Amino acid sequence: MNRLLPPYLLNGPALVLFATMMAVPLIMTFMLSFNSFEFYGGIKSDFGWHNYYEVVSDNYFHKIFARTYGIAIVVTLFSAIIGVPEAYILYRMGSTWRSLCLLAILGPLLISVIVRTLGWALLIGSKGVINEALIGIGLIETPIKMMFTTTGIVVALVHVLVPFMVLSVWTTLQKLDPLVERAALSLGASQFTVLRRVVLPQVMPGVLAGSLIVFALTASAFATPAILGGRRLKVVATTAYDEYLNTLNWPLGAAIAVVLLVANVIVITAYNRYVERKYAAVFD
Amino acid sequence: MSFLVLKNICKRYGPVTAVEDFNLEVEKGEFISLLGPSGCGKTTTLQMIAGFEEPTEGSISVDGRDMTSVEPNARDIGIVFQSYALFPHMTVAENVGFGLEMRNVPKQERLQRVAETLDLVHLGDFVDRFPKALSGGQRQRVALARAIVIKPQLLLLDEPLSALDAKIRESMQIELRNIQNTVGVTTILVTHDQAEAMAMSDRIAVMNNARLAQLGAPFEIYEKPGDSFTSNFLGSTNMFEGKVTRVSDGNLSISCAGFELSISGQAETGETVSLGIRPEKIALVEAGEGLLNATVSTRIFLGTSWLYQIDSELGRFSVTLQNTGKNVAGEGDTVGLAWHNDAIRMLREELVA
Repeated sequence: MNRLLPPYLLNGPALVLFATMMAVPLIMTFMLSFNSFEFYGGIKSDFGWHNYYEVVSDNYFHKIFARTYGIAIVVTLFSAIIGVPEAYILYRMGSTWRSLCLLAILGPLLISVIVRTLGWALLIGSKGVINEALIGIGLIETPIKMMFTTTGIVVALVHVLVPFMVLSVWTTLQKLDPLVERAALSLGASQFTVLRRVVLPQVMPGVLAGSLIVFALTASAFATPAILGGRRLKVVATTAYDEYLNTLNWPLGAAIAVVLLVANVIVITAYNRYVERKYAAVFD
Repeated sequence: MSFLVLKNICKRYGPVTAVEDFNLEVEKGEFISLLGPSGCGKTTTLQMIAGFEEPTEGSISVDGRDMTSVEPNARDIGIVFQSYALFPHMTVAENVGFGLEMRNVPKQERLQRVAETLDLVHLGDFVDRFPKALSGGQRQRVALARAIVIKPQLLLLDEPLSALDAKIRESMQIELRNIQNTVGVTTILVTHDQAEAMAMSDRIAVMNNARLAQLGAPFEIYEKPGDSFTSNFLGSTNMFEGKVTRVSDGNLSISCAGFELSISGQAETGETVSLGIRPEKIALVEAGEGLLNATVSTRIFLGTSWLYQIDSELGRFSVTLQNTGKNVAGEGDTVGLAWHNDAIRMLREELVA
């Protein structure tokens, strides 16, 4: 028997599954994006670049893409600002407290995104807990608008995605030699300098990997922007959804989805390249 | 007053005592080793000197200044860690320059001192490398350079050579000693390797069970070990027992199985005492001509010497003989064991905390 056959046979089931579940829908979406749509005639299976032309030329889509990537950048930044210290504190904790806190950090991941986001809606809505409380104690008279704002989306997404940053940074911290911090101290560095000059640079690969995860998940997030942003404050994923299900313009929705996918892939691979090149000389 | 003074140092972690009533005075420029098996408290002692642990009791002073509770970053101490603990994200020059940067040394002077120190450890050509691209021995040198470039009051070495392979370790011992001589910094070395301690130190502090067992120059400790622990930890010792038959004027006559010896020491008539003799101080002679007869059970050739295991009435003896190129007794031969009575040490039983 051919020496190469058994590996292929063993991989076969997984390959078939992968092909049907992932490759086929992607290819079909890709093909669909070249078709055209008429309001009274439905989808025509012809070929043309007009959907892409529309996405690329229409200011309406520019705004949506800009908003999506703006949110992604801000969410990534805040996740890093919150997640890195969180991970370091976790790393310095005693083992009992660490297990408890790790559970608290990972807990949100065990709850469905929809449920969590609806929880945020209860909290930040104009009749939500925060506004009612602030009005109740007399700090404000009219409710602060937090629902259906980008701020609301950003806050909820940071909450959802911070655990990924914490885990990524924490994993990197595990690989640090704790004596390196002591070495820096013995050379006269203050605690803060040790963090800034010794710990942070060493966990940068973890921060960058975490950023990548958070950025990718934010850029393609659907549930949170859909619930907290409403029908008018759109991001790319909700726009594609609306094209499919409200306007029924499937080809345009497919084109939007393909553009989002390609843009994400470009951003992520470029970023990954940069990180790998930067740290190749320093870390294993 | 001595340069570094450790006074009645104790360190307890709950019910566990890591260091008990430890006293040590170190002169300026001296090289002292803390030698002992793992768990004897030597590393804890070093960490208290460095300021990473605070003593439960006792005080530490350097150059007359009380250091007991001073933060580690205010102690002006250079440390070389077992794992080297280099900053992996900095180049060799940045690693070495870090301490100077923390001291706000101007850039020009900093670069010059970094270059000088790297030359001293023979790493002048490696300034721009990252630690990842260096061998173990080179990393070791960077760690040393980083610790001495700040001209610290004290240099602490925590098992600095144990991660190196045997050949490099030996040459590093000599080099480290030379560098310490050149720089003249007061140095404390923590090690479990008796050969390393003997090769490098002015004095050795032998530690056992959280206490100081013996303090002295290497030759002195080797030749006059205070107890059976020190005797066995520094080199090896053949132990046997004898009964004191007569005491006169500090001289003891002791009867062992079949022969008598007389040594100087303090004991009561009729007391059973532990005696020790180093393997290299026993001579092999023709059967019947020595103090006792014995049978060679194994013989191992070590290049510079032969190592014998010899069974006698008093138990098993290890004997090392210089390899002089001549024929020597083989396995199964009956031989006589002989020695000078000066080579016999009466040993107290190991102190148990």
